[in-house]
Amino acid sequence: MAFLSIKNLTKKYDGITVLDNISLDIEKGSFLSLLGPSGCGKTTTLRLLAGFEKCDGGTIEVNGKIINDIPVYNRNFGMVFQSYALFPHMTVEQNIAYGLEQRKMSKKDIKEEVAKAIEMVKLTGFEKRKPKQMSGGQQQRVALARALVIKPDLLLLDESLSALDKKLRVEMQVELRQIQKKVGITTIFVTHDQEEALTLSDKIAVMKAGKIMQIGTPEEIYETPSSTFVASFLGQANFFRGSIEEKSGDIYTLKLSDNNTMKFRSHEDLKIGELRSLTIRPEKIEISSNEKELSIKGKVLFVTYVGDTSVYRIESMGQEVLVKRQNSGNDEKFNIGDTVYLSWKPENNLVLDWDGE
Amino acid sequence: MDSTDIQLRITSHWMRSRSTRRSNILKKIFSWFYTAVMFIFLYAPIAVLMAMAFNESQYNALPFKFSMRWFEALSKNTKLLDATMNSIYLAAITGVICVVLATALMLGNRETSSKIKALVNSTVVLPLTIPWIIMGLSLLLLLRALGLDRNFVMLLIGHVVISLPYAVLIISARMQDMDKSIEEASYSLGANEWTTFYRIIFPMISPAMLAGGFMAFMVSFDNFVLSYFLIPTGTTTLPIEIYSSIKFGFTPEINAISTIILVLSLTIISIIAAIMGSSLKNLIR
Repeated sequence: MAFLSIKNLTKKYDGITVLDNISLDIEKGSFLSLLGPSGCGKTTTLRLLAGFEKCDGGTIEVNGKIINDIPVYNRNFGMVFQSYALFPHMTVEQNIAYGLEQRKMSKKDIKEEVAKAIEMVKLTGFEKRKPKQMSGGQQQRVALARALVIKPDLLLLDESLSALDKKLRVEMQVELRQIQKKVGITTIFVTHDQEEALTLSDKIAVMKAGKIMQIGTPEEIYETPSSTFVASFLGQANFFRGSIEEKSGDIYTLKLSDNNTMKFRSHEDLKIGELRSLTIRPEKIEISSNEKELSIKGKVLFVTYVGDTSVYRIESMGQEVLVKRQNSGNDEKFNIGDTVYLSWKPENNLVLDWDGE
Repeated sequence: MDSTDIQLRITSHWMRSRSTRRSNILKKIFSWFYTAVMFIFLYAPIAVLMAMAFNESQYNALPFKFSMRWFEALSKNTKLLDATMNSIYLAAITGVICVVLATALMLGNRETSSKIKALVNSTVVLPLTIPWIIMGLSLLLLLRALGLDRNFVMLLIGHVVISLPYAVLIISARMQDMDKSIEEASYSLGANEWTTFYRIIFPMISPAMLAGGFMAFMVSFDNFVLSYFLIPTGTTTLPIEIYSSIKFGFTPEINAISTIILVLSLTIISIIAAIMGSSLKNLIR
């Protein structure tokens, strides 16, 4: 049985539905990211879990017990806020001790636990500082220590890394994941940053307009997105949208909106006349000057050199196709204006529903 | 400053930008002059009042001759001292009531819907726009309607009504600045509403409460119109006493008591500023 189970959770603000009947199960000790654009309901989900807001329908269960009506301060969930929300009038030590004091621990035990927590987040020597006298990354660590020291059943992180600069953010990601694994705490992380979600999570739930579009491991979500929205929100993707015109064996012909046609191979059973979106990740496309079976012809519009990779923008099938290529040093190079042929392995294309986007 | 002098300095350093440099200096001189005029405009009357407290003459007349006689006279003037004590007493109670009311009101107001919030905010601040004379008159009429004599409670209510908006403005400004998630963090760490209030919210808004209370104190202490309408017969406050002494023979004892009050309030403000340090600076900003 799942440790945390959300069933048919619904939330409305002034009659507008912001969470539409979402359900979600989380295993004990795992790290789940709620990923989506702003306004998708991810923060609302987190606030309902924390207990800051009441839902308009559905249940939240922890270990099989419904917690909907348990007040925030009796839930024993740790939370790290986007703004860190440290108590400005207290020192680092006092901030971290606060939660333990509420648990009526002895002074001696509190001191020990606080010292351990400070060591865990590598802030030894900063005990007597006030939040204002610390950098963003340090404040972030204090917030994390403060949330973890109470040994919460669930750790909630609300865009907790987004206020940091890029380099620090990457460092904190690694540290956060290490600490999370060491403590073994079930964690829910809200983010709009797909890279962050991919690196940190055991599982990702991609949300859109109050609904969960897909849940899965980072690899599942990236490699087999269930919709064009998920495919385009997580990483980049090329979409060829059109209707299935012909079928011969496992080779289909797709008629695009501007009457271009292309052939592709698929093991799926597709019906003639269906509207579909053939989806291919840029790094899965091979680029060559020679025509191959089922390849499509194109013209190089632009090349960007990014060190380890080169990104090609290629005009093909009446649209712009993105191709990412590793720079191994001895590949054939292509220049602007070159005619090229694009091909990919049939297992690397996805035939998704055309959801009108 | 001599213009040739300026000219010389300009030529030696700023040959190329002579004219702009010159206009910059003029600008500077003008802005200093302007500041000085404003300063004199604001504080000269008070300076004169304070100086005259130490002047021998009974009619605030020159030439100035240093004397402490008005302070001595003041120490024997029980009527004036009683009036002052009454004023302090009234203003202090008003200040405390205003702080408690304003804090409770603003704390509660955060939890309500935006419509109620707007309604409460405007209703509380509305007395700022009602002339005190009308407020005093209406409270007096209310007393009549109730068949009551003028009494201290009604006087206090009047003072609270006119002082409350100031306390509310100061305290609500601070609360709006406060990050709501700090409070939520406290709840999530296991603290209930009461603990969260006295360990988190109170320490964060206490400078504003102090400032708001002081403001309410000053508004009440200073008020003449309302007190004049509502004061129980036989008692008096400092503003009323000063007013009547102008009618019936003014002595520099008034200057003396004013000087003491000014010095006292400046001292209090300095002490508050020193204790609260940066948090008060943040508040003013």
